Amino acid sequence: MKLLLKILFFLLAIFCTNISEAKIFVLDDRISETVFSNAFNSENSKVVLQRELSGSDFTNTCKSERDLVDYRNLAISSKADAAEEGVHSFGSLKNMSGSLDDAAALARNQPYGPNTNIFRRLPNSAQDAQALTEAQAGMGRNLNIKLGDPTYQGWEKWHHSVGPKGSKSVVHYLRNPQTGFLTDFKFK
Amino acid sequence: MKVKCVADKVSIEKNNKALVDWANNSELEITIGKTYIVIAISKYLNFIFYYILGDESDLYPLAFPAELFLITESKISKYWETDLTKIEFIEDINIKNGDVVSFKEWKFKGDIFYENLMEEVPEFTLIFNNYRDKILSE
Repeated sequence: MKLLLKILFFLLAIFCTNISEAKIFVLDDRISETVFSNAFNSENSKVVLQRELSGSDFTNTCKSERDLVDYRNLAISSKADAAEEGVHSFGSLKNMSGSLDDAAALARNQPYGPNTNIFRRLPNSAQDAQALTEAQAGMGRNLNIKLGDPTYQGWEKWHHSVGPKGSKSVVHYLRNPQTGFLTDFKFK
Repeated sequence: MKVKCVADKVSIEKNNKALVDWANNSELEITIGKTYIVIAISKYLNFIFYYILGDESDLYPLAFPAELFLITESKISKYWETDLTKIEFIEDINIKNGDVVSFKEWKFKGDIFYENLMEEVPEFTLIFNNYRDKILSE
């Protein structure tokens, strides 16, 4: 009987410490990121993180629905990582924290990470939008450099341009050759 | 060193698939008949590439396959860190994949220099602009 109780207690302890769930909902006008831990662990029983970017935030952040593509790209990848490895997997993107604040900083042309330069990330014209869309589809060419930042080791830097000679829209972005994930789109 | 653009697409017939795939997934920012000053030379995929200021930006050079150009002035820049004084033919360039022939900062820092230039890190932009202006006015 004691042995049976010990086994039950052991199984219960495993159940209480290991279960967690991360969800990211991606809709046309909002992204909500929710991380739950199991209800048996008193420290983690509350919702760890639940945030939503409202439609008005996106109105301020993005000029068009097209700009949401980058958010979707980020969120979908985060979701995949979260499903695979748990909450801690948010750190494997260019947006290293995986937080929506950082995603918003990227979209608002704010400085991001250690590089304090501000790059334009939003399209100003139909030609820009086309260049960005095509880059997001993986068009362009590899600049053949090995990135020095240890965070992005093995990543590729790509270049894509669209438009008439002398006035092209040029987009640079990063590509993870292992997963095909594309991020850090910026106009040059 | 100056080169004249003779083609703006990599020939499918003459080249291996890797180079064709690399080049033909995006329009190259060069113009047939235009002469460009070579800022650096490198090698990728076992092909020699010239770094030149393309048609879109003077802020950073881009790499284009050497086969798209003819050498019109073989004398190389005095600011380059190399034993060579001139390059008559592509075959004269004996470097390994990833090596860079250019001014010393780029040659020795390699990809780190180029990455920081593309990221517009002021220190690297300043160095590049300095050499660019000198090389263009030689």
